[in-house]
Amino acid sequence: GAIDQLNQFLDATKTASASFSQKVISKTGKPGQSASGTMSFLRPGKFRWEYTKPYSQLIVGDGAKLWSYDKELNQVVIKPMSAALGATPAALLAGSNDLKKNFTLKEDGSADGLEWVEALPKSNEAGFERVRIGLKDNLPQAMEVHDNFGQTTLLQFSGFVRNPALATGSFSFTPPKGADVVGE
Amino acid sequence: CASTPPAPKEIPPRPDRESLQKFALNGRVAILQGTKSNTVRLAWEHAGESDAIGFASPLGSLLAELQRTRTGAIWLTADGERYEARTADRLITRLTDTPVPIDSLILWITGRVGGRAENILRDPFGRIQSARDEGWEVRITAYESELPNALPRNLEVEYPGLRLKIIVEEWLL
Repeated sequence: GAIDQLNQFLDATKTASASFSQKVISKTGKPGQSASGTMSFLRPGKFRWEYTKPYSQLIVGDGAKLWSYDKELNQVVIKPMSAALGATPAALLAGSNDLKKNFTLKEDGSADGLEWVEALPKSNEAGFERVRIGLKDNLPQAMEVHDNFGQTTLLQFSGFVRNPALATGSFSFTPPKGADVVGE
Repeated sequence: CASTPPAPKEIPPRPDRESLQKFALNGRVAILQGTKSNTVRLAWEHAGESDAIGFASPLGSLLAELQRTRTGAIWLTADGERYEARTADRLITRLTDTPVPIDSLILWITGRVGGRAENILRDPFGRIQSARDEGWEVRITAYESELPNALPRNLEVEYPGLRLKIIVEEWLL
């Protein structure tokens, strides 16, 4: 089932990289903003989630802190890793045992050629109500993040590479000169 | 003068900004003020005297929403809290510490200023580039196109202790 595929993925994957596309569906069903980019992670706890279209925004979890850099706003926000879950699903996939420890997992049937698992956060600090992960060949292919306002973010992964060699420094971040650095 | 972005994708002709009663926008806002600084996504629906302003994570998941009607305002948070007040200006302090005049922000974000604004500087296309309004420094640093009635794309508004940098990615009229 989907939970087995997810466990298989979490156990067998130390690093991963993929492209993603994101579309937000508002509570009235109106499609909102869509964006795309690339992500990679190094378990446990390190990840890189980079929006390249329609704007440039980089989110890096270096295992200790969460860095988010918006190029056009020229601002770097530093937050504790605990804020990671709400910011990007990469934190969920890259977490040490975040999924099993902090979420209740439920089989959620199959659709669109994928087997789905539903993850319900045990605390209400996660910043969303639940997440659905669609898997095939033991790899996440899609995710749905349902927030607490009835809004859903649909994520599609493509070009998922399991255990690629990743550039050193992929998971560290140094604020560019001149950027406003705020937060912790 | 205000820098205009690279050739924007087809932008529909805009109505005169003074006649704008209804708009929706998607974008991002950098909030700069000590520990509560943050960058959040912005989804704003305005119609007449009512507003729904959503503040979301990069993922688009709503963190909080400010709803305003003629009779009052409500602030809803992702973890289920709900705060009510007569005016939205006070409620936004849950995010910004300093009250933000929402009625003025509606003017600024659409390229207008209030009647008491001073030091109004206009760009070669006749659009507002900077002004001082209600004690705030307003700078519109980019418009969506070079047309006289183009809507703002980048603006900064600053009050002692608080600076908001706003990017409007998409206008929906």
